[in-house]
Amino acid sequence: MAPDTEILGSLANELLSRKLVFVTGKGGVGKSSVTAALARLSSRAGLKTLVCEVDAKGDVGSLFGLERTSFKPKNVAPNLYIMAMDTEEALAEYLRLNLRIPIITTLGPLAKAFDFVANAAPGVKEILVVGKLCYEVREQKWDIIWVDASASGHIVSQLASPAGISELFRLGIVKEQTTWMAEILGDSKTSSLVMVLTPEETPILESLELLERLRYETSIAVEMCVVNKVLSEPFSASQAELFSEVESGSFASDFVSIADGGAPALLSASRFALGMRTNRSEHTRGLVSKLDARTRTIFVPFFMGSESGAKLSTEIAEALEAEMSGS
Amino acid sequence: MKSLIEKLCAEKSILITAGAGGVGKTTLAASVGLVGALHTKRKVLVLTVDPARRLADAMGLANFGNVVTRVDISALAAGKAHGELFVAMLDTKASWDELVTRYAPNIRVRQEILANPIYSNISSRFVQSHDYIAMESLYDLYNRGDFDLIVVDTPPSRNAIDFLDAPEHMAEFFSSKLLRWITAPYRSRLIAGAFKPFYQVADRILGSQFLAEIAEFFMLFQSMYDGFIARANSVSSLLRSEAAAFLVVTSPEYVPMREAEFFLGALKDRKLSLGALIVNRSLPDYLDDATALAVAQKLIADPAKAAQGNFVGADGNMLASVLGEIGQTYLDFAGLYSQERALVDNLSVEHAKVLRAPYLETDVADVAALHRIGCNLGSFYSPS
Repeated sequence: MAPDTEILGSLANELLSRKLVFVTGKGGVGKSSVTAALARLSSRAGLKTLVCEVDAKGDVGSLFGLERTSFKPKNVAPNLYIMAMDTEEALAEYLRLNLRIPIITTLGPLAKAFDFVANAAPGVKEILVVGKLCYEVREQKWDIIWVDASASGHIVSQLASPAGISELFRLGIVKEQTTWMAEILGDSKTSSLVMVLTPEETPILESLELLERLRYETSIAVEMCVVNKVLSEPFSASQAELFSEVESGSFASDFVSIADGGAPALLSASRFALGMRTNRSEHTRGLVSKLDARTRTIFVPFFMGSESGAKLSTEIAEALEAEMSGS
Repeated sequence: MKSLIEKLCAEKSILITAGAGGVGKTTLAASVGLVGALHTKRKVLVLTVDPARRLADAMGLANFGNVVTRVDISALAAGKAHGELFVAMLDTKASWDELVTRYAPNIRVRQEILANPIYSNISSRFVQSHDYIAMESLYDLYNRGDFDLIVVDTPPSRNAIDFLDAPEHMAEFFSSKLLRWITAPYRSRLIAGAFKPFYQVADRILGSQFLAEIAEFFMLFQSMYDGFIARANSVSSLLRSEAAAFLVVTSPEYVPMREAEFFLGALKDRKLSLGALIVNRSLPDYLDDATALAVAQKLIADPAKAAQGNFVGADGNMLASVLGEIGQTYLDFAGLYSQERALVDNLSVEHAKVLRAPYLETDVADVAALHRIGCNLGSFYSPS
């Protein structure tokens, strides 16, 4: 079904009309919080939503109060389900659904053998991840699937796996399967990717490198960059001028007299925050200037004091909603 | 008095950094290496797996590959006696090829392995193989004895712990019974009959050409089996020896901290030695100031009242907003600071081993900045 256009802006509508969205970003940037926030948005808009954790650390699950995620989707809120990817279970499901073969009784050792083969040929594990996701899309069980995807580099191997597998396997069912998967992944109306990053030097440089690799090695459309933990400018230009006077200019002694012994600590904290903000906004500008014109950029503020948990993902959801509806 | 890092640099032969992605492992590995080279007279190698391009720049290198490259540190030494610093980046593919070259029983096997498509997949893309080869290269460098200290920046694992078990995993992998299954029909027609049902399914799913390639790969690899297993075991025992210690790196945030905690437990379980836990990007101590906090609260509550009688000539509204912001900023950051403290306090680790690296407002752009980080690795619990 179509998302409720009354509530959400066009940017959100576009993103929520996808079937399969990979959310990626390196550790510490808030990828799981953003995934949870996006899932909150889509489920609240009335879309039957699945979140799939690929790295299976249970981070998204815990944001919804789920102690343990499993391969079988669990319902955590109206319209909202969470599952954890498991390549062995994905393989078992695949064999059950696709190969109704008489020797099914010997599947036990067979599954072990395949796990072994999967370890040897890396493409196999990746194709099982991508295959399961594409299967869910093809079966139309969900309005939208958010994938809390592997951090950075590994996502490229996963998204490129249908093509890679095609090279490795010249025959067989695996080879046949890759064609429709590649179609789903390559259709920008169906699938896309959201990159999450923080406005710091290393995450931005790595994200730009990752974008480059995604562009050349996969066919996925990078739809959106979510710049998380953005610090707002504390002072306008004239306020900043006054701050300098308070810090070390004509009002310095006034400040010392009202702040007792706390003046150095207070001023150091403000100077520290200013430096951090300047540095982050420079990096953000650098990032935006290098992005593809088709990739939208969304800014999510840094929420002081909500380091983890449901509160943070709710705050991020609200910020995303506000940004995407253009308010 | 020597700092803990200086002590570790002087006493250990191997320091391995570990931790979640994005916490600054590579930068800290370089900083520690620099301290080792400048504050002792040792020859130090920093072996990195994933160098941020900027780090290469910071070390004054246009780029560095798996060739060992010398870093000029004489300017930082300021005339004092010092050691030497080298860096190298691990090239997984090249290191695997080297390994095959060493253990293949003859040239024919070597060439067949290098040409096998499964092999090239494993050696270049197999995530776990990066973990293994990092430990393997470390062992090799250690045995060659060209360096007094090797600081290893570990690969960004899906799970930070993977590389610890990589030698064992690799040994298990090659000694598995399933390996015999896969290669059976290619070795004997009789066995092939017995396994026919398995191969029918496997053929349908994977295609016979893939199966043939994988069987060939394993048969070839089996010829290197003994050398491989012996090697994996030696690597494991080196990591457990007195010569090696781990530096667990984390940033004071919830997710990396959870990873660090897990890692500390994993080290304990495996009887591996913890050199130090480094809390990177930790906030400055002036954020823990009761007087400043009280003033901040006054500034937020009523900035005009707080300013009364002072700041003659200032625009009242603007002054109020600036003072209010100064108060709010202090309050916010003091809150973050106490959150950080609580996270570190919750870790079960000997306090003397917890170090901190300050939060830097600016980026690490040169060797001097790296050196500053290394020298400022102070104790978390008794700030100097």
